[in-house]
Order: sequence, then C-alpha cells, then structure tokens
Amino acid sequence: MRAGLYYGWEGTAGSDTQALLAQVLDQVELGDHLGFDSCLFAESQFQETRASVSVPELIGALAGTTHGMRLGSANRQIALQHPARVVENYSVLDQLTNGRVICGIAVSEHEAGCVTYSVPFDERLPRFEEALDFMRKAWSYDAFAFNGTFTKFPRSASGLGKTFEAEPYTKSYLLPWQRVGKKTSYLGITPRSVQLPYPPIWIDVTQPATLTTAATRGCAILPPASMPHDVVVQRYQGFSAELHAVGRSLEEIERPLLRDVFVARSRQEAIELAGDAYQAQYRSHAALGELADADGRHLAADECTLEYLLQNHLIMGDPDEVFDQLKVLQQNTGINHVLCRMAPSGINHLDVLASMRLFAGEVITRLRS
Amino acid sequence: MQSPRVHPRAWSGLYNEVIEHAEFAESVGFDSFWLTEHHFWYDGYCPDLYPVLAAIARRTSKIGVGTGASLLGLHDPLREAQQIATLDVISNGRVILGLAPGYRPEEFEGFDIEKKTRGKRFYEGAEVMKKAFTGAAFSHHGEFFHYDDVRLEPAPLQRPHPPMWVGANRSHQQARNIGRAGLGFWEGPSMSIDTFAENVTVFKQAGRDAGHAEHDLKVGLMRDICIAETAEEALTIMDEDLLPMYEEQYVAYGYVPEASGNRREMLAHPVFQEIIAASMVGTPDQIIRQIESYRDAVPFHHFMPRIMHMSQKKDRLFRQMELFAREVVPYFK
Repeated sequence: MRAGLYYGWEGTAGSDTQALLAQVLDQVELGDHLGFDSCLFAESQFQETRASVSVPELIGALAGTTHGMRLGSANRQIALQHPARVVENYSVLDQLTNGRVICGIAVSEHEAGCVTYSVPFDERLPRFEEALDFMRKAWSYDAFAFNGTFTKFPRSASGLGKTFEAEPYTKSYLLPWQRVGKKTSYLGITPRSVQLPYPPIWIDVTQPATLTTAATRGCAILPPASMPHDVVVQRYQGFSAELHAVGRSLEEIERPLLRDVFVARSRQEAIELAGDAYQAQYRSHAALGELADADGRHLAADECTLEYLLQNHLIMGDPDEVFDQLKVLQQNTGINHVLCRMAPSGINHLDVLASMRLFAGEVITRLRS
Repeated sequence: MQSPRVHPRAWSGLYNEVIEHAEFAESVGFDSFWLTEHHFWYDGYCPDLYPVLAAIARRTSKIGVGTGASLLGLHDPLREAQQIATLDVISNGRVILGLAPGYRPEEFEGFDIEKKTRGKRFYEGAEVMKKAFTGAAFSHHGEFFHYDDVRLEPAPLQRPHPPMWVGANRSHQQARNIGRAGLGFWEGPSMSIDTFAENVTVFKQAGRDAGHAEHDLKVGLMRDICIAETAEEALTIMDEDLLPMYEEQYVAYGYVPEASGNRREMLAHPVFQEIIAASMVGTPDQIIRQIESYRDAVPFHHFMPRIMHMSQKKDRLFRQMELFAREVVPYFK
C-alpha cells in the first residue's frame, strides 16, 4: 500500500498563514525525502473557519524542491470556474512536476463558494459533470469545440448541433499559425500534460451520486478524511458495484483514502500530542455540517468525543498499532493508497515531523512489503 | 515556455529550465524575473503563471517574481487575487504584478468573453483585486463581477498590495486609463521612444488630474536586448534568436502575412523595422547609451530587459544575463 500526506485547512482562519505555509512546505519536502508517495491539498473557498489558500501555487512551489512525490489537489471545485482554466492549470503543473500531478476534484459541498463565484448551488452537480467531461475531452484532442449547457468553447461552439466535435482534419485543414483572421471554430489547450492521456482524476465521494460519475468515466474515488471508516467501506462497495455495471473492476483502479493518522512512541503519547487538535478539527467539521454517521445523520460538535473519533475516524498509536489499524482498513475497504492528515491545526510542527519520521521508518516500510 | 517551429523543445524541459534561469538571474544580481501569459497557442505558451512563479520563488530568496503580463481581462479577479496572495506569502512578499487586458481574439473566444468588454472588465477587475488585497471583508457589485461579504485569507504580505503595473499599447486612451486608475505604466518592447514619451506625458497628466500622488505614478520600460562582447556577436544574436522569434510570432499572429520565403522582404515590413529600431543591440557600452537616450527623454523607474528569446540557448542566455548584470546594471544603480 502506498502512503502519502494530506493537508486540509480546518481551523486555520485567522492564523499566521505565512508561518503555517512555511511549515507545510517544510513538512512536505521532508516527506518527499522520507519516501512518502504523495501529498494532496484541500481547496477551501471562503469558508469561515478555513483560510482560502490557493492550491496550485503550493504545488508549484513544491514542484522544484520535491523529486518523487506525487502532488495534487484533494477536492478542486471544478464547477466554480471555466474548465479550460482547470485544464491549463493541471497541465502546467504536470509539466512543472515532470508528470507527478493528481487531479483531485469535487462537487462543491458548501454554498459559500458557489455564492462567491455566482454558481447556483443546485446546479453544482451537473456543472461538475460537464466540467469533468470537458477536461477529459480537452486532454484527449488537439483542437475541439464544446457546446455544453454551461460551457461554450470557443464562443462560436454555441452554433454546433451537438455537444462535442473534434476538429476535422480535412483537406482544408490549416496549421495553427495559418488561422489568424479566420473564424475560430476549434481551439486546443496547451501545453499538454506529461501523463497520458491525462493526469489521474480522483473524485471526492461525499455525495453518493459521484460514484456513478467516477465509474462511468474511469476515475478513481477519494473518500474524504471526515468520512467514518464504515461509510468508507460502503462507498468502496458501492463503487465496486458501479464499476461492475460498466464492465470494470476495482483491481484496475488506484484506490486512495484520506485519513487522520498520527504516530508516536505510544498510543498515550500520540493522544497527548495530537488528540486535542484532532478533536477541535472534528468539531469544526461538525459545525460545517461535514460530519455524518453511517445512517447519514449529521453529528453535532459535542458528539465528537475522543472515544468516538478513535473508533470511527482517527488512526493513532505506536507504529505497530497504526500499521495494524491501516491493515484492517485495507482489508475492509480494498484501498491501496492512504493519505495521512498528520498536521491538524494547532499541533506543534516538530511533533508532526517526528510523527512523519516514525511513520516513514516503521510503518511505510511494512505497508510496502 | 514556448516550443516554436524554429526551435522545437519538450515543454517539460522548458519548465524545468526556467527555474534555473531565475536562480542564475538572482545569482548575478537582477532585481526581478518575469513570465508572460497567453492561451490556446500552438507552441504551448504558458497559460498559468502563478504556479511557475511559485516554483521559482521556492528556489530563490530575494529576486522579485513578476507577471509580464497576466491577462486580467480574461480572468475572475477574486480567484486571481487568491492566487497572487498565496504566491506573495510563499515568496515572502516578492510578487510584482504586470497586468494587461489581453488582445488576442481567440483567447476571448475560448473563455466566452466579448472582446470589446476587455477594457471595462480589466479596470473593474483591478478594483476588485485592490479591495480583496486589503484582507478585510468586502462586497462588490459592478458591471461584470459580483461578490458579497467575502474576505481574502491569506492576504498578500505586501501592503497595501503588491505593486501593480499595466502593460500599455500605443493608444493615448490606454495611457489615460492607467493614470486615472493610479497604476504603474509599463511600456512594451516595440514602441518607439517618441511614442513612449508621448504616452508617459498623457499617463502622468491623467494621474495628476485624478488626484494621485506623483510618487505613485511609476513608469517602467521593457526592451528586447541582444548584448555581447562585440557588436558583431550582438548582431548575430539578433539575427539568430530575436528576429526569428518575431517572424514566427508575428506571422502566426497575423501582423505580417507569411512571406514567400524571402527573409529580406519580411524584414523590410514596417512592423519589423519598428521592432529593429526599438531593440537594443550591441556591446555593454552601446546598450548603456541606448538606455540613457530613453532615460533622458522620459525618466523611468524600472527597466525590464527581455534577454530570453524563444531559442532558449542556455549558454548564450546566461552569458548575456551575466554581461548585462555586470556591466550595465551597476552604471544605473
């Protein structure tokens, strides 16, 4: 099983962002050195308790200082901007990282971001699906026209009788530099990505409807960190069924998961160092309506006791305990890639580094064997 | 990061090398390093500057990281502000913003924006960015953009905001608009010294009339540079690196119809004559004299030598950068 890092921004509003980002970049660079496979960053758009850090710039900063680690977003809200910008962004990042980008995308779950960017909240799922289809077309064709419900590319595509048309390579075909002054009927997005046909697309599955979206488009799923273990099991079971319906199987696809993981020399020490920070983080999740149990019931902040969190969300302890818990999770869900949120807001930077070193030295090595 | 017909290269190599170029520029003493943006261009012209500047910022420590220019007329200004703010924090306050409305029709077509609205969109976008950069909650209800009670966090480190320059074209109207908005005026590489002088006069007068302080009315100048130890070598660099870049881009863009193969005919075109006249080609002493002639006509605050041309020959580029930094820059500091 692969192991990576994950950074959300819970509880970071009002904090010293310069210090925070400096620590995050240092941690990720250490993670690359220690052999972590990946690092994803969450996108948050104008939520009260979270800083709205722009993820592409973090990935860009790390592109030149990391070497093997895959880098990406966990939940880029692609419905909130023109999908051509999303494609350009990931393509540039893929070039900058020599083909190490992961496109984690999500349907916007919070109204704040939709309101900010003037996207009707009830249109977010169809917009998300159309943006995803646009992205896959843009990466797969040299030049094309896209006449969607929400996106016209280029403008003249609105006259197209169908949703998509690749540029026809007929005898009248003009080379790109010969087209100036002619009607713009097809455009291509450059540069292309390094990874072929495009960087891997992982879809956040907070909403069960996205299981079908992922399965029918050959994308992996990414259950969020705040999803309880047993709901993750349900999601992967549901995804397996959706894949089966389209003639695929889970074994063909990377199977990642975001989890809260913290390692120390003993379980007691892990709880002492990180328990309060994780608890505060989950109270923040609950306050934003992001915490639900297996029955779909939203939890209140005061239900986030440490006992509840240790049973349903947190993986904490000494290296052996953490390894055992991850193996159980792997057996129950089928995951082969865990991304660890090891730095909840409020935890000491040096304690995070120590946990990373212990995890790399005594857990990752066993996960890979 | 272009891979043109005349010098095809792998894009990933270009993206890796640009970081090395910036590191070298910092090591020889340049104050800033700039990238420029275009979209849907056949040669892979970089469409997204901020992540690349972030990569440069992480590998350098003092050189300014600039956009020359970011096409604000095509973007959502709040999202752009978000990217800029994060970059400014990562870079410890080294962002310099060169902005422009954009001009290529296919870029507006691609983003489903009416090109004729670009001027208004640009200045409204700049107003939104300035509000966002304060870090305070703000609302904005303009002709193109609407935001309610949003707060940008993180805000940029630079206060009140990173320096903002606007890439000017030939028109007096653009110069007036920049002055009224109180933004920096930045002349592009191929305008003549007379056009530059006229536009700066218009810019400053418009700025004063709008009540902006003289010290806020900053002027920048960009010129193409081909510098070498001898004049002959400098002319060779112009012939091999600078002119092919313009030939391909200007033919591709349609400023000049594709010639039948006669290069002399293309170079005789008025557009190319203007480029050649505006470029600074020669030894360090000759370059100094040429810069001085501009400074004597129009005092400016920031000079931006465009030494990198599309051929991307690293050895030649680094030699030019070192020569410029060692022989020209100290004369003006």
